[in-house]
Amino acid sequence: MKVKISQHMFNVLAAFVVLCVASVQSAFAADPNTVLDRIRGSGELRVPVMVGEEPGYIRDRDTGEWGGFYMEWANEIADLLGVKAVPVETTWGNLAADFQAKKIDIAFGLNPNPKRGLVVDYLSVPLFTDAWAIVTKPGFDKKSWSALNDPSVKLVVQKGGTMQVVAEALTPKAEMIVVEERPLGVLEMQAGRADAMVLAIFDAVQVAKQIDGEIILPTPMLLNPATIGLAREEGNEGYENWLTNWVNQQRALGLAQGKLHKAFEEHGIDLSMLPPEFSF
Amino acid sequence: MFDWSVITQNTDLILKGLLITLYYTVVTTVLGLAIGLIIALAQLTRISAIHWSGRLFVEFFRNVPLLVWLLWSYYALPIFLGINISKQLAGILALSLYGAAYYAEILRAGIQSLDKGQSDAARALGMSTGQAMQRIILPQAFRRMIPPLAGQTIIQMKNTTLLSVITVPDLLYQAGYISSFTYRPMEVYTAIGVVFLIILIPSNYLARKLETHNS
Repeated sequence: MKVKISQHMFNVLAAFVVLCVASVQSAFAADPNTVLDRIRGSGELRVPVMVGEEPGYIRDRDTGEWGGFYMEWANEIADLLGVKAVPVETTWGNLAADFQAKKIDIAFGLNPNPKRGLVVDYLSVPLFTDAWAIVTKPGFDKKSWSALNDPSVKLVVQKGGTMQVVAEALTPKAEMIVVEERPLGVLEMQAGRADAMVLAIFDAVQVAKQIDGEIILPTPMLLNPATIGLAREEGNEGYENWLTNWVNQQRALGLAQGKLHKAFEEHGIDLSMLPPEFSF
Repeated sequence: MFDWSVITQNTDLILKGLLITLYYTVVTTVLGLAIGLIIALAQLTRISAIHWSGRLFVEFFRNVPLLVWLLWSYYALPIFLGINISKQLAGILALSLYGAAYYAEILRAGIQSLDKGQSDAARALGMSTGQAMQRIILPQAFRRMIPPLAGQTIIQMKNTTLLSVITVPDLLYQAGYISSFTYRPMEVYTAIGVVFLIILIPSNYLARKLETHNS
């Protein structure tokens, strides 16, 4: 009898311990919708915006208001969530700190980067696809990465940008001119100190327009997925899943590509200058 | 070669930037001087806890680069303390405290450069330490401090250009913005340099006049 009671007590105790552990565990495991609920509760979707990134982000010269296709996407997402998109001005260099300091809720147009991926969550599907291009003065005859990998070639790259990684990987023999910002790269080209500037095709169309240059997509063509990034934090799974759903719809219905074409045309950029083998 | 039309077409943006630069220069100079005076006096007291706190403040802010301190103010406070600080407040905080460390040293050195006999004489006349400081020491010390204070204020104005890193729309930020859509950085940055010269050369001249007048 004594043994039986002990056994019974033991079972009750074990059940109690299991229940406690389960409740503690569930208390510590964050709700996957924590971030989504926080955004909806705050009434704001905070979006990083930057100057010098037209037509993705366009700051109205006179009113200071923000537009551009990234901002339009942000507004669409905010509408679906029933909140307001709030621009938070920053720079590419400060973006990781913005995420860390919880100053922003989303970032568009990020290229895959495993190092950054340790602190930022990327959606697994790209919103659109970009490609690596070079802008040259008309008449430049090197059309492949291997032809560009030559000590006689002078290439401009933007400091810290993904294009620097591309150039270092594919054209290590070429002379590399590293500049702080894109307009300084244009100056290098105008001053005749560089043969070509390595750029994402989005930026290449802007620069080519400025210097009456030509865009070349060096072969083999390197595609560059532009994705959405979120702050790495507990409880963002639901938000990430919801955004992936949104991106899939944008791509499947051609909404993303349509918006890009429209944005470039409205910005006075003739997309027929793009090489025919490329599409967003 | 240079196309100056980019400047004439964007004068309004440059003026907006100038107003912001002047605003941050004035606010952070006033705050920096006020905090600097407190820190200078703290360093002159005999109470070692206060004295060393003053020293620590000066050493900390003088030995950390302003850019680091600026980014730290804007980003580290929300990360570590959960305080969400605006870029305007972060800019004022960083520049004022940074300037205060330098002003404190100028003020401390100015006060210490006066003969100790003067404060003894003031005390002998029955003045308290505060009265002696206010009536005898500070007015004389201030005259000696004019050149270094003017120099530090000019540096303070030039330091405001670092605010563009956290996208405060000062003169340098506007230069970057105008360059981003005109692709004419040389003209734009040259114009910004000229604006600084136009503001600072007369300010320097005034400081020299004030110094001559007071001596």
